[in-house]
Amino acid sequence: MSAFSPHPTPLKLPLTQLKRGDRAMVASSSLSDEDKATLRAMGLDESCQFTVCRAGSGGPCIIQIDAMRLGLSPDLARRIMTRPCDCADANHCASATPDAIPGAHL
Amino acid sequence: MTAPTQPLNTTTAFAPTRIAMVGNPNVGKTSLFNRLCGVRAKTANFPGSTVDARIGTSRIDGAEMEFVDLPGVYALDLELPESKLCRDCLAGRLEGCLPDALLVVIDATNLARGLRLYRSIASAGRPLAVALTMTDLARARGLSVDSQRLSVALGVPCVVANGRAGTGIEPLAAAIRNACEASPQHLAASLSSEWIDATVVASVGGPNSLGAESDRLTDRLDAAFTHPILGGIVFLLTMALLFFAIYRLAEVPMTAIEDACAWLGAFVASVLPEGALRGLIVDGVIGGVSGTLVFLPQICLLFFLLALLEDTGYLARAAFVMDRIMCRFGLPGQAFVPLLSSHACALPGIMSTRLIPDRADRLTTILVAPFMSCSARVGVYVLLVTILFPNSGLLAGLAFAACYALGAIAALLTAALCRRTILRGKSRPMVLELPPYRLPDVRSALLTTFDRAKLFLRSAGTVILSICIVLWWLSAYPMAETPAAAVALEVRAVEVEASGQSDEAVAEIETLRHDAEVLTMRAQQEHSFAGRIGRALQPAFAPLGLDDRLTIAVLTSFLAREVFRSTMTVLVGQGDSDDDNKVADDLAQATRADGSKLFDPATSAGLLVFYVLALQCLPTLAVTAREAGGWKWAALQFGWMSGVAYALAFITREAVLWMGIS
Repeated sequence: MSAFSPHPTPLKLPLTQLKRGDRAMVASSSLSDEDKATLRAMGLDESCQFTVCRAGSGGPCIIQIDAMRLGLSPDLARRIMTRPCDCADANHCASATPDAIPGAHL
Repeated sequence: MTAPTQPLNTTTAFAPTRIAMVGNPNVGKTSLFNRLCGVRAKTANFPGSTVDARIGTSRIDGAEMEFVDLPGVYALDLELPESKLCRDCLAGRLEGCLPDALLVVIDATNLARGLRLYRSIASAGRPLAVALTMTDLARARGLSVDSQRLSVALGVPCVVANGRAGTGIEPLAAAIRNACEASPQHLAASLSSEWIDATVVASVGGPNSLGAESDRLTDRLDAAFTHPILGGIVFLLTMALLFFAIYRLAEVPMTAIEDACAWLGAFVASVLPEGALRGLIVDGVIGGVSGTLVFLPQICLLFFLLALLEDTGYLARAAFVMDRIMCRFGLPGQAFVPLLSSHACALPGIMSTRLIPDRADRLTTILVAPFMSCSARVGVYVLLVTILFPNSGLLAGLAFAACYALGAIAALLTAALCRRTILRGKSRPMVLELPPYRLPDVRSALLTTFDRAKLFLRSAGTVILSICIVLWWLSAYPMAETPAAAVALEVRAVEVEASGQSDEAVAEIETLRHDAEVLTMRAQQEHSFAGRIGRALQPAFAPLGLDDRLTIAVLTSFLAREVFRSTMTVLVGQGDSDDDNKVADDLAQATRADGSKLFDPATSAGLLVFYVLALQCLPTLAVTAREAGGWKWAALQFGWMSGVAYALAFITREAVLWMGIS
């Protein structure tokens, strides 16, 4: 069971349109099965929350899942649709989930 | 459910117990391997695989153990070369690499992901031990991971270890030994996602504070290093320093190697009687060893500095900065480092393409890397640019810069063409785990460098040495008789020597002997197999304006480009000299049989373009074959670069002639 208590909104946005400090979950993607499997193995799947550390408008995007940071090319990030979550502290990407436990999103 | 017990090493009774190390990338697996094995390790390639593993030995409690450091993987079932290699190793499909037991390395800051990989590995049913790494980083984040509870939950030994600091190595070794001796009790089939969740929650404690100071620092550094402008500046400065180090710092050991080989050659020449054996040993073997070892300093420096940079966590960010530029030409961001390194020498550049995970990306980078102007080309550029623009430093400088630009443009356009033709297909999407920023592990970097140097000498080095000996033989045989003119000069020198020892006489003797030597070498060049091949192929190079002598010089410079200068000075000049302007003047005065200038502007410009683009470096072909996985890639690289060089040299010459420049 997830330790997070997200309150997803119905809005879906491409990952590239999220701002720094935004928290979101993966809603869907138009990636190939192989790419999806790679991202899932790296820790980015439909059930996990992540924080945007570097917004990907026009450039690479950096997200943080627990203690891990992933860099995504704009082309890849554009094809990932996200569902933004409520966030208590959007000022600092690394402090957005003060009570999260690594790996508990699985 | 208990997995079936596997017998230990069924191959031979006295073979060491083999432990395969598996884990996610960036979990400190290689640091542990280096701690366990030290210098007793080597890189192992497996047929059909583009990734390699390192194999090393260690003595634990008196027992010899062999460790296999498999490449980091996120999952075993992915269609990626590293996942396939791990699958094949665990299934015993790699010849001589069936593991008796497995050491799973798990990052304490990313326990869930490590446990998912553990789940798929445990299903192999082999004895297991777990090394829990990065606990220092976990502590910095306010996390504490209970290795005892994790060990109980997994049913296998679980030891906290840190390869960088060298802590926990002995308990880990004992755990590995115990795991090999005990029946595996791990609960592979029961590791469901819910179980992983529960295990993480049960094993991780402490005041969790994701948002520690280290994260804020990481945020700031990431913001700077991945910024479109600032990140680019930092990257260029870093690469400039790297390039400077490879280009300049390697000069001292390179000169030392050349001097040492020259001294050894002179010593052997003074001991052995003149003849074929002396020629073979001095010019063939010692010359070949010198031609091989001289690359080592650049290779070692590049790999050492890259290992340090990679360890700091910066290189992953740099790849991101460059990706937005490189992707337009079908290359990944990681390709920038090999391409830049190739400006010093294509050999370490090509070897450093191992940083690139995708095979097509990597092959493309290998194929285009030799287009970048390496240091060996500089001598030829200086010579031809000086002949072309003897009185204009500005134009000479511009032409020199244009050579570098032409090479880079040719590389990028060729890369784009490759990705649309022979290496078509979707490359791996640019998604990288950005490891935490840390101080580099110098010990690990040194071991990696040592390993790469050994690999170079063992594989490419032996080929390069063989090539050097064959090329020496082609240029030394059949031996020409000393020309009558040279004999006459020697006789005259002896007469002058007998007549007196005045300063004028000494200078005249020196000139006479130098001229005699040049005539003898010229006769040998023309009479040798290389000379005969040059004359036979001259019609093919005639459209570029090359006569017999230029064709011989171009062909002999396939050994290394710098040979062009020495060959030309022997064939048409007055012998080699350290003075670039004197050599250029000599060559500029050289004439053809019809009295016209040999180095007319059209021919010189065409030749310059040819040298920018042609792959005249057999050692590079040897390394390409080694790194790309076959001589067909080396043949393709050679064919394409030679074709492009020939075509553009021809066009350049015709354009200069059409403009009426003479």
